[in-house]
Amino acid sequence: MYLVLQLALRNIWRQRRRNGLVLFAIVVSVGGVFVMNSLARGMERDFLRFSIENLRGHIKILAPNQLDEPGLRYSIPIDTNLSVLTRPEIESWTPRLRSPAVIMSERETRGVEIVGIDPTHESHSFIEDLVVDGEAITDTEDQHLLIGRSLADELKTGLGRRLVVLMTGPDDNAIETGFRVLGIFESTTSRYEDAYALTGLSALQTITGVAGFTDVSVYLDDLDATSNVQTTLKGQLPNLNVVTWEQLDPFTSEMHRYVGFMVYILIVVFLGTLVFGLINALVTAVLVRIKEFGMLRVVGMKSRLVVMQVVIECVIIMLLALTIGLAAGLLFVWWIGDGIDLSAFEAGVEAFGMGARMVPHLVVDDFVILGVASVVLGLIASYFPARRVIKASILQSLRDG
Amino acid sequence: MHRTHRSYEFRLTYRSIGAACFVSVLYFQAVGATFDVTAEELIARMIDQSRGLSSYSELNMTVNRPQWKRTSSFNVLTRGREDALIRFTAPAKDAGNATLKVGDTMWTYSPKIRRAVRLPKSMMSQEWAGSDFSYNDLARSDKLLAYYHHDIVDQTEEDGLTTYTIESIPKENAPVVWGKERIVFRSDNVLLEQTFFDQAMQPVKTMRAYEIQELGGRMLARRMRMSDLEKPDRWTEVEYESIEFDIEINDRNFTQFALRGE
Repeated sequence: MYLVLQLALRNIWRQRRRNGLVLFAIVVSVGGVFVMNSLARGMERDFLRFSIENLRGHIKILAPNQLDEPGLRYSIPIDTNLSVLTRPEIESWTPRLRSPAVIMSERETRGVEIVGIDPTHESHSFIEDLVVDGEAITDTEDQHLLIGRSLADELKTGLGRRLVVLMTGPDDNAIETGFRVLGIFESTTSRYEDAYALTGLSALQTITGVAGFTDVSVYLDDLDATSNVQTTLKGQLPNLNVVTWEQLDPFTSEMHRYVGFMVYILIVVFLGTLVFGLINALVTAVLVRIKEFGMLRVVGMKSRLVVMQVVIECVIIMLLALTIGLAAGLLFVWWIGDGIDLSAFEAGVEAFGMGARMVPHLVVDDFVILGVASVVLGLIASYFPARRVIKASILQSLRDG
Repeated sequence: MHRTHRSYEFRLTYRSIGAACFVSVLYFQAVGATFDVTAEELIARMIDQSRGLSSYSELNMTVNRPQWKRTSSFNVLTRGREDALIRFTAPAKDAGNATLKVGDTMWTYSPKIRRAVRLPKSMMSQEWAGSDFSYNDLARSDKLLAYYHHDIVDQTEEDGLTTYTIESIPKENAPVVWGKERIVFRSDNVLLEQTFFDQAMQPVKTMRAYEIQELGGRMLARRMRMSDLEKPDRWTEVEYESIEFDIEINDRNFTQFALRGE
């Protein structure tokens, strides 16, 4: 057995150029797949993250009809028993009061969504990561506005200025209030900066006269638990509408699933190509060496060992290429670790539900699949050419080779 | 004894002087109250000018922009302070366009689409008919009294008329975008000027009155011009052709049928 391994190594070294080329081809494709895969996984993670941190959550509890008519008309009563949300699967939950609103400065008017938040509960949405210039919302009683930088620029307003917010109240009445902007936030994407004006939950409840919330976002530890928790909560909150992020955002959910599936298509395509290339290279390599194998059989090597020798050669090349390829891929991913800047296409990619930076994300499982599958395929790819050698009679191989 | 008497006398004199001073202060205060007015009263007078009135007027409006200038004509029917029906009569392209305001609600009607549209509150700050007036400027209401602190900052007398300059600063949390408004108001109830300042106290737009004269039996500015102070070529001028006050008004004139011109 040791002899076979030694022979295989020597053979590889003897055919340096050919084996080097095969090695190089595998390195490039493994490395390429590694990078593509990590980017695709990064995209997948972005889809999920943007969908969930965008004030949505894994599960959302809404007043009935809220989805048909977003705004203050339909709300969850304040005395709803939300203690059912204290469950092991639920990492956190936060109530909010949200309403579409028109926001006006001296010079401009824009449409936004005004969101009353409870800052002590806001630990899983984008609000947590905001870079705030001025004052953040730190108390539910805070009756000032925190708006995005790009909205502030569009409204030509600044810190300390007053804006007028117009909303439609629960009874279709017009609610008109002045708010002072005490904080301006910057976030990773301008979509949050344009879309939301944040204020304290209790303060907004007082202004609008809505004693309650429009929705409660629920954040889970485990994405896969979503539908189970939804079923449980539906039973516990029969008068409310309990929906998952996938139901609220079917586009992103489809994109998320598509990218997750695409990763496997990518691996299959890569391995398919690799296997045919490999078989091709090995068939040639084996045919060239028919005489050599014939000679080995003449001196008494068992045909099983001949096949094994070829297979071992192939697996060694494969493992080596896999190691170098993964290392190269890892190096490349580390190099683009901050993400590929897509801000030139920001509007486009954001409409698509992605961030302006394409940040790679490594999923270990994918690489285990990739590694195991390539070795298995290497075995299969080398076994058939090797079998051709031992199928022929020794004399024939000696004569033909 | 004599000595004490003198000092008593002196004390008495001193007291009487003090008393005289006190009385005169009271007197002047009383006089001040009769002749002077507070800023709030002036604003209330300005707003109340049209309370309980009905009027019919014909006006021309000129909108000036850097590239073009356009004049249109319309007539206005008002009832009290809250209700108005405005209908364009010229140019032919705009004729029939109408705006109806009843209380807080506004509708517009365009004969081209033959639809009356109720304006959402959110549109009230938009320009009206392409002019520099916003719907809010048309819908002038008690807002000025409810949401501002007023102060008379200047007062001048001319020909027996007093001209007051009032600075109105919005209260905290008032639904007002302006930093302040400066109102120049004459004691014969003519609004001479109203300037809107942003919150950095820079003037943004101003409305000025020209050709103050008697119209329909009242002192009125025949021309009012709203100018954008940041873009000097942008202004809108409204000019009265004629105005009649206290006319007979049929309530039917403030319905959506009337808005459509039916």
